[in-house]
Amino acid sequence: MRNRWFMLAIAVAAALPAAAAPGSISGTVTPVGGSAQLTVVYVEKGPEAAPRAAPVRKDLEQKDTEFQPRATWVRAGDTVQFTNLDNFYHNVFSPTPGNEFDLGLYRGGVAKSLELTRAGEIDVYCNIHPNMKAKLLVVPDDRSAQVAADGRYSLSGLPPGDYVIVAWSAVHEPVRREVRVRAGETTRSDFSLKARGAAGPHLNKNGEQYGRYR
Amino acid sequence: MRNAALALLASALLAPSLRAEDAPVRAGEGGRGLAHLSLMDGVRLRLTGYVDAGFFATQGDGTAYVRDAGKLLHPEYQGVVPWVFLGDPWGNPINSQGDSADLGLDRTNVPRFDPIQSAGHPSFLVNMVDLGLAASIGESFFFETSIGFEPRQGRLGSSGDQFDVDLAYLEWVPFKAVDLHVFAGKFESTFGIEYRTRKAPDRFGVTPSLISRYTVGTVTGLKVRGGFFDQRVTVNLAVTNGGTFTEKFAHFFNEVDMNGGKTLSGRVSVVLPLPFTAEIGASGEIGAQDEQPSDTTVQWLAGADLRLSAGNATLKAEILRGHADGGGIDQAARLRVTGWYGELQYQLLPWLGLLGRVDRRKANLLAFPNLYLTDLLRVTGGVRFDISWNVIAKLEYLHLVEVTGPELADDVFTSSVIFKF
Repeated sequence: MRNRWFMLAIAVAAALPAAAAPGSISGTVTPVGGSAQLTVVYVEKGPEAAPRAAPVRKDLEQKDTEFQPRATWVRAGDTVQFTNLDNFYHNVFSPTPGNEFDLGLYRGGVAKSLELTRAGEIDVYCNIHPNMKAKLLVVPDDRSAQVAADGRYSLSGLPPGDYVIVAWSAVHEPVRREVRVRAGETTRSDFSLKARGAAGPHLNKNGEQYGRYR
Repeated sequence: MRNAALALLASALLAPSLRAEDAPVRAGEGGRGLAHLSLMDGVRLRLTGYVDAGFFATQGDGTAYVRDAGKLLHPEYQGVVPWVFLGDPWGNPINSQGDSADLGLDRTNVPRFDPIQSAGHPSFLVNMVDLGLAASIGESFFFETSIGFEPRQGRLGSSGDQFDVDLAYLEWVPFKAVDLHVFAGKFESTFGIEYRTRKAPDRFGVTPSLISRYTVGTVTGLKVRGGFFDQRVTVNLAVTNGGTFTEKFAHFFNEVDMNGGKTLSGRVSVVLPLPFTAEIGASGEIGAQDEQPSDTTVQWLAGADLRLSAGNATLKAEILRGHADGGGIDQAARLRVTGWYGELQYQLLPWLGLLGRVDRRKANLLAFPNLYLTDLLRVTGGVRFDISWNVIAKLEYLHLVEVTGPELADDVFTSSVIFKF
């Protein structure tokens, strides 16, 4: 009987694929020109991701006719709450294809929230105040990390395989890179980000120029 | 108990708690809430407008000037001009267009253009019904027109209902990455900053400044506007039929030019790199004077403006100097004017705003045979209620001080309720 259980355990173990030890990616991100308040490195493509953690909510406030902070990031499925802390009306909208939204006009003291399910960079504007601009980054899953103040980042717990990772900042051109992760190893990948060119004027939510007061 | 209730009420008013909306909006679903009508490929139409209705009450007979009978106060004009008037006919406006409650009678009791003619009686009034049509053609072309209707009585001296094609222009944006706009048609002024809020829904208070009559008029011609250095420097240049005046008493404005000389106008502004909004600008305008045939009779304006905005407070100020040669006895009026205003707006609560303004205008206007001598100081206080994003109510009181000449009973209380769409 005892031998039978032992043989069964060996057979089951042999039948299961060998669970490879996870690897990781780490390195540094160096901005060249322009000062980034927020830099994120994330997996854009790779082996299937583990189920993600519970969604969270982040805040992006409208205060003194500015979005604060001017850039933030979430994971797909998370929610961003836009709180109007000014004593007058604001609007929040985005014309970014695939992630368009319009939260409408709302007065100070009111918060509206936005659920983001599709990965990508989103331009956020106010339909009344053309100077109000923010960028939202939605990353696909939990395989993402905010770059530390010293420029270091680390993506750990990655199954072995080929990945496309992206280093992103709101004021620099994003950089994509293919990286191979091997079992139990750390792959180093350093990024150097160049500043984005000056953005031209944007249109209002109706696709028109802002106002006639020129 | 009563104090506790009052404290609770006060805290509820002064510190409104954040109110979250019902359910999150999901990005990418349903697109944007576009408010336009698609006509055909690349052409979209949008209807805009507002209704501005109010109630006003004035001191005296509703006028803000008086005749210097016998030239007792200004004997130096004996034999120079037949009639001398003191005060400012447009110093006691009751709405955003600057209409006076009453313009009084002409020197010979001849009716003059006087759209309201309240004779000093308190009155309700629909100040303006404005309809606008905006059309976008792709991302490079934009057309806007705005027509104002003013329901007025039609008795002697008033033309009755009026309508005015206020704006009708095509805007072309030739480059995507460069903030450059070319306008053709009838468009907004290039002078100063008050034109940005000349319409009732955009104005914080009810009435315009004393110098707005020189700066906010829409003009017909060509304009180029450029924003540089991340829009910190803005340049506006225009060549137009006439100037940016809206002065209705002596007329310094031609819709269709009466002379061959065009008016050149422009403004340069800089937004300073400070932790709060600080915009300074300088404006100028020069051209052949309107309402007369000569190309060499000149009218000009020069001015400076300032806008500071920090938190819930905004301070605006403008100063200008103006000159019109005048065309002689049978032609256009002669003008010498200086003026300024400072306006403080404070949004105390999301639904409650406070306004304070001081302005002054000194003018010598000869519209032969009438000479108007003005040195007016005006103090204005107002309250604004933002009932919703498209319903606004405002109250305002204007106290007029005739710095020289007789003090007149010409203070004004006025109000306005605006529905915009």
